[in-house]
Amino acid sequence: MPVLLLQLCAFGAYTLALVFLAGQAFSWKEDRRLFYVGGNRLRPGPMVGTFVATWMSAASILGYTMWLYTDGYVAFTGSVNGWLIGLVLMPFLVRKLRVGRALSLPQWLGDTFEDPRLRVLSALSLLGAYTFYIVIQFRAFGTIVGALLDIKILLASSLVYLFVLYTTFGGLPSVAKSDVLNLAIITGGVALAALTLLNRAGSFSAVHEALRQTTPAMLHPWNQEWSPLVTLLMMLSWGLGVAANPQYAIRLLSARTARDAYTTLALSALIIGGIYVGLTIIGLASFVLLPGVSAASDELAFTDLVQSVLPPLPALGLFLAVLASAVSTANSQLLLAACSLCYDLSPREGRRRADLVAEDRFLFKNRLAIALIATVALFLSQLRLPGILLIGRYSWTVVAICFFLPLYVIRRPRRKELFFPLAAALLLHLFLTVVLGILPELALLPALALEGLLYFSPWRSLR
Amino acid sequence: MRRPRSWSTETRIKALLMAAAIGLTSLTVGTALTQGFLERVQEARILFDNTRSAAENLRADRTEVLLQTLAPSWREVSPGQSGEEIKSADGMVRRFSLDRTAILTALVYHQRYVLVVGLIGFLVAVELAVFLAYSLTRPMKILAWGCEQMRSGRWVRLPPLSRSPYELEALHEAFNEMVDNLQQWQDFQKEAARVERLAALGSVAAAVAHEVKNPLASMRIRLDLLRRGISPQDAEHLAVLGSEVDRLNQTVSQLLTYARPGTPLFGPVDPGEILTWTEQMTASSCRAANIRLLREVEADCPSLWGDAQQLKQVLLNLTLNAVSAQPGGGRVILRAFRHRNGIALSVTDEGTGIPAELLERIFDPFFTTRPEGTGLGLSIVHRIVGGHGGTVSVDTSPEGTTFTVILPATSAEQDKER
Repeated sequence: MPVLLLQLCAFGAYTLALVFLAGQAFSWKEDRRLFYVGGNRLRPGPMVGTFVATWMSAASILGYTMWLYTDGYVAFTGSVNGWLIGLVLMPFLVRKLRVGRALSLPQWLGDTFEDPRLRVLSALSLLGAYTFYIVIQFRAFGTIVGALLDIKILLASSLVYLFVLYTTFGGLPSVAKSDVLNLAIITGGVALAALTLLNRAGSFSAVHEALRQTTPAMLHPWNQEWSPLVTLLMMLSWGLGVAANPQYAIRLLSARTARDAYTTLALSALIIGGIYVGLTIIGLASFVLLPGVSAASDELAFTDLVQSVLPPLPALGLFLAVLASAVSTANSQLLLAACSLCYDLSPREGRRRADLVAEDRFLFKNRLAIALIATVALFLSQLRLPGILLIGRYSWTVVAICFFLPLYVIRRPRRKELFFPLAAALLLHLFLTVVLGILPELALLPALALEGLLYFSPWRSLR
Repeated sequence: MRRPRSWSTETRIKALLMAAAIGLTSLTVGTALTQGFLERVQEARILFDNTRSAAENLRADRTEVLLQTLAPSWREVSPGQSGEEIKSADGMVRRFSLDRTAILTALVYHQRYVLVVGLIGFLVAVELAVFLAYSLTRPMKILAWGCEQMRSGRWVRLPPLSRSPYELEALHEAFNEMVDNLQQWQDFQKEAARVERLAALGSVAAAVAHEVKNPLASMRIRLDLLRRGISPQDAEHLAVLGSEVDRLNQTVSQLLTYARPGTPLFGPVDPGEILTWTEQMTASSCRAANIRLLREVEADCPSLWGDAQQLKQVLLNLTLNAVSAQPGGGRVILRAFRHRNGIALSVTDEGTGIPAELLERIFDPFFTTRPEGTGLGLSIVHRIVGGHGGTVSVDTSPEGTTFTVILPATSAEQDKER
């Protein structure tokens, strides 16, 4: 069977599976709690599915693999290590988040500090950060499929756009169901590719041995381009960004019980670790088998590399894993962005209990917002914007500035006292990155320090 | 709402449209690919025949370029394998076999846009199916919710549907009409039960009042006779007895008025005159309670059709109630104005309002919240206004209460209105 036909059949099969497994988009009995947080009734199975599938974005699979292929273990030190630190911090959030039964992180922030301005500011930041992050998913998948099938990127991105729309219309229950399928595809695709490459390269020890002989620098946790300090700072920033990321926090809120949330974190850590091991094997073994692949972008280089080092079937599995990761991350972020727009930025929606008719109207507005944000992201994905990792860095750091301090550091929230420090930190981050051109991860630390200083300073009463 | 066990409308519509989309897409793409494949095979055969004819006239060393044009549809096979032969002029034989996979690959590549657009079209069809199902199930969901609310004893009206099929709009309208009718029927049943209850109470009250009134009159006369030639201390006791007998007499009179209100003597009544009379009759009570009484009569307010004495009783009762609702003083406003259903007389006070849970009972006889009240004032108002074919309504809030009596205007005024 021609490879092209095989690829098209695989995308068709994914479409059918998604349509059948994601369930009903408009459930018979739904309200905003069900739509945003699954009615706080998600069980560990779907929770693990949606947690891990959301965790593995296109940036993780593609960006990390290509960074590893280019620079070796410094990619692990600079990114995955930080992400795992973020994961380790998450159990501390569970009880804190579940006290107020909020439907969104901006609402939690506004309620905790009794400051509606805080809710609006963080919701605006989230809306912007997530819209750009969705752009990454659309662009990554669009570029890969565009190169695979030799079609226009817009057409390929439209495929993932429609997948994402379909799964997000049903709210978190639909996202969680589709994420179980996505997780199966991600783990299957990565495992198949990793095992095939291990088979071709001999073993993981053989890969290490080959690297030791040809390019030993790839085995060092930091390289000469970046000093250890810069690498560590970057790792720390990624960690803080992950730890405070609302898309994971909202999943902890959605669990049926705190115990289920802890179980989810434990099981997810195992699966995530396994997938990173698989990606590490893919990145390093690919380098050993075929060094020197380069292209105009990470996405194109990844496509060339995978097609060159893997037979058609495992390569297809890996491409499907990228598709599944793009869909699972984008639908989660799309839901949160729509929540920010329709719930947190609409003062009339507040906490009031609406009857079914008003609730139905509210949810319909959310669906319109989902379509709108996804369309804007699709449009932006066709523009010449910075690379995947850079957009990701901006998004994660803004999120970390908004939520890290209140989630992890501040023990006794003081009424209306966080708004000014948070706004100042966001402005400082913007100044450092845009005006001075400092990397967003590095700019995050002074911004967080300023936020903490202003909040905890003894002169705060002068404000 | 109970979750339905069978497949939802969305699932059915989605399945139907998906089956149609898959069927049509498979048929179209399959036909296009099959036809394209057969055409390409035929073209390849023609190319092969032409190449074979041309090669027969050339020496083997000069056929190389010619044979390369057969790729990718034809591939050369080893001498031992089966294939179609091409013989050169010098007798050299080479075998070729048709490469169907290569033809299919080229065809799929050529048709890749059609295939991707087909996939996108399929996804769009699914999403349209979802929205189609939504537009159908949403009104039904709201209707089911409305029925659920009604079952729980809560009256709801469904919002008007926009952009929904007219059959569903008709269903919503029918539900709302049903709710209206049920509400009217419930109100009617309540009123009928109330009238029945009051009729029975009235009969008993009339009998009791009749039996009590005569002994009370006799007691009053005897008390007046006893007053002569007694000590001042005993006179004080007698005064108290006398006032209690008067109070009993007043209660009994009210009871009789309520039970046997008498046949109203209808005629044109000037609303302004009723208000003036009421103002005069309650002036001393208002002064004592530090209340300012205001009177507002709409210019050219037409006369109404009723019994002047009974209507004075109505306004008097309402005004006295308004005065007693403001123990700390305030304002009472009497108004007369035109209303779309006749002439309205209203009495407004600035008291603390009537609690919602008491509103339903204020027109019941003997219902009162004041220790010195008989609980008959508002019952009499309700009965007299009902006898006039009018209505009495209450609008209350913590800032005050307004009782509005709406009575028919005189025929001449009604004719003028028309």
